[in-house]
Amino acid sequence: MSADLELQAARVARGDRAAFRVIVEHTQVPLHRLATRLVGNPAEAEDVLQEAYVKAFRALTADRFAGDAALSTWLYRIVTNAALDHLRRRRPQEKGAAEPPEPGFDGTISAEARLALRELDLWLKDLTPDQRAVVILKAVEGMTTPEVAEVLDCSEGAVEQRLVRARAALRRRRDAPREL
Amino acid sequence: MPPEPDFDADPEWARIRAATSTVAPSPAFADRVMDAVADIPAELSLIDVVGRWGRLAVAAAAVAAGTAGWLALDSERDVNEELIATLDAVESSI
Repeated sequence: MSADLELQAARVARGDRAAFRVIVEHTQVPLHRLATRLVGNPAEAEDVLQEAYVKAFRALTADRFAGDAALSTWLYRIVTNAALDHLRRRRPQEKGAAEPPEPGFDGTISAEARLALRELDLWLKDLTPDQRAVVILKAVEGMTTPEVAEVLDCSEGAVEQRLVRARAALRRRRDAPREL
Repeated sequence: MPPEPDFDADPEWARIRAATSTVAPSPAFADRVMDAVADIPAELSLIDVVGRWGRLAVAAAAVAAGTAGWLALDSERDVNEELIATLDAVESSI
């Protein structure tokens, strides 16, 4: 499927819009799942994902997809960056605010998934967006350190460094009630 | 309380992974994306075309300059150095 997606990307670069729909239809479920885990809300994740696809379309039609990574990895990178931008914009004014509503979402989310997202958000609330991203890519998406580095476009050392800080923040949060 | 930060050891992370794995976008999401890109030109702009041909022209000029220099140089190392210098000069001139 990966090679097929790269073929579709080459078609998009030649102006074939139908090929872009094929890419969207083949990647939207895993990418939406990633965006939902990163921003904690499936409706906001759709907005983030749409923004990421628009960026990807612009890059493909301007022939800026270098092909040095697989198309799926490249898309993961764009979605993760869009989600991080979204979190950075959102975090300051929404700290301590009530849970945002989910207007207009008619996709699939079970009560169990909703609860899990709420738990995840609570666990990770002390982390910076960058630390949150490495924890989600590693612990929830199940990626290896080299894969996380490729998605975040940074060195494996930088990933490990963020993981160390994230683990320390999680541990502090975990131990906090016992200290009181 | 967050689970143990050792991601492989604590099953809580696997539980979160499993519980959130069924999330899926709205059925009309792909249509929404295609609507969002509908007004973006899918063909290369004039700037893109000029940029692409410009890169090709630079590469051709570098090869031509390197080949011309080869004829007047003594060793393979000189040729390589000349090629690098030519590429640097071309790069700094654009």
